[in-house]
Amino acid sequence: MDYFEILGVAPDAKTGEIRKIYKQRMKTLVMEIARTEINAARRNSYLVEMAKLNAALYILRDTQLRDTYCAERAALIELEAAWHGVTNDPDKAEQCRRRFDGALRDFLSKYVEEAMLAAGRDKECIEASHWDAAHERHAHRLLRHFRHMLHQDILERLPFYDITAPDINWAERERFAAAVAAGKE
Amino acid sequence: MARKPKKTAEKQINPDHIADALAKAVATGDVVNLQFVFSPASPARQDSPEQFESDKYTYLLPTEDEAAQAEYQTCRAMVREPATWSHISGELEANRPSRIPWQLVMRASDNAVRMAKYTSAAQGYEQLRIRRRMQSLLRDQGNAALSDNDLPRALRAYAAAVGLSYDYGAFPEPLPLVSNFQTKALMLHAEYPEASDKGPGMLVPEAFAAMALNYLLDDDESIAQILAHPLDVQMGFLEAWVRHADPAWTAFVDGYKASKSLLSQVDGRLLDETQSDDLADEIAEMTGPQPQEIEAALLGRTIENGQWWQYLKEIAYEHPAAPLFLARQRVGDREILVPRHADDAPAAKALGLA
Repeated sequence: MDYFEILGVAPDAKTGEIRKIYKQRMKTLVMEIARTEINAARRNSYLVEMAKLNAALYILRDTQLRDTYCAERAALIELEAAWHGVTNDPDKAEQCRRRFDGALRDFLSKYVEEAMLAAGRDKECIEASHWDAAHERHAHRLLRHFRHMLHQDILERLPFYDITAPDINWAERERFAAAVAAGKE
Repeated sequence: MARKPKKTAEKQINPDHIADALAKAVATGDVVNLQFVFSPASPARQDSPEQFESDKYTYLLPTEDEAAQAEYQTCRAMVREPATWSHISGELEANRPSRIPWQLVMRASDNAVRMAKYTSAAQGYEQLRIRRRMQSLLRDQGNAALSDNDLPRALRAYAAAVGLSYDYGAFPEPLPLVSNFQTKALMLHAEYPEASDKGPGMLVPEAFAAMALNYLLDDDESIAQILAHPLDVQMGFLEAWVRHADPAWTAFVDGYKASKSLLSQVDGRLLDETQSDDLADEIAEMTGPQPQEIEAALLGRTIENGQWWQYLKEIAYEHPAAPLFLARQRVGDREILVPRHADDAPAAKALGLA
């Protein structure tokens, strides 16, 4: 979860620039929402987009919060690299996995779910995004799901730890799917 | 620091039991049992107090009939293959979470798909990180079969694709997606139909097909693929799906027809009541069918003091597609559930309700 990338600013961007870009992006998003026919899927997607922008401003405009976020993110990336480096040693890999897993859960809870909800209560974010109590009620469930999906996406790129690394033959998989459909299996 | 294993010196593990348990789990597509054999509490571990000989673990070992089956024999040979067996033995000795040979997980998952144990298959494919792609391959097969108008093939492919939607990795939060028709049926009937031409079964065929597929299938991508086909293909698939998902559908059809007959009698009496209030009508009201008998006929039994939503939940549990052809109806001071579908509804005709 790279908030610099979400907002589209450089890691050394000044607070003024962050505020300016946030307001532009939020205005574009709010206008897009206003002219779109809303259904359940679009409402969920817009709510997450809004929460992401709000959290980006909330974290990046505050120097102390931003430094902590950058340091914890860098530590997490380092832990992942360390795990990838010891995949041939199952014992060390297991230690790395445990450390990484704990750190990842903490990071996602803090900077995805909690930061997004806290940002929704921030005066500056409320002013730009019109975030209200109804948004927050709905966002509770939605952000939990979003955090989980993010977690799943990250897990997919990590080394295998509960099974040996598979060597999937996709041509054989296609044949299997065809056989299942044909009822030959 | 890793916990030092407490070895129980007297414990003797028969390696054949380990091979048998693994082969049975793989052959029967039981991914949970396969993982259990490698778990810390497994009787296959030297540092666990559990024993294969205990009665409570007889379920792990094959019966004579099971052991004689060809798939079991193949799986046992796979487990006993020197490289795999050496890996298994090493993992059971190691004092850390085990790495199960991926070939066993793949075979167990494939067997689970063959046996329609989709929850187990989804769990295995999730471990292999191929669940979503397997769903996509199966959907493609289903889509191609629909284009060829081959409904049985489409049904098998989509049944497997939709079955694999169960995201075991998502457990415990948010709860995995399962077909909870008892809740979905209530949502389908959340709004009271103010006119007799309203209700799910009264929709035009295009809208009905979309609504029914969304209600019955738990996989948005499969639904989108099916809805891209012509209406007659959608309806054909819907009929096949309902009959596949509910083997007891014909029992519901009988109850449905009986409830329609009761409804016409009750309807006629209620209409007459507005015109006269003589003794003959009062007797007919007391001796004739009561409105609540309609929902009892739909369900096939009575629920004591049952409300319409209680009947709906029970009917949806027993016959998932039934709520598509029902509607809420206010009679006096209470609501009941009545059969309702458009006279020319192709789905109702195809499913024997019209």
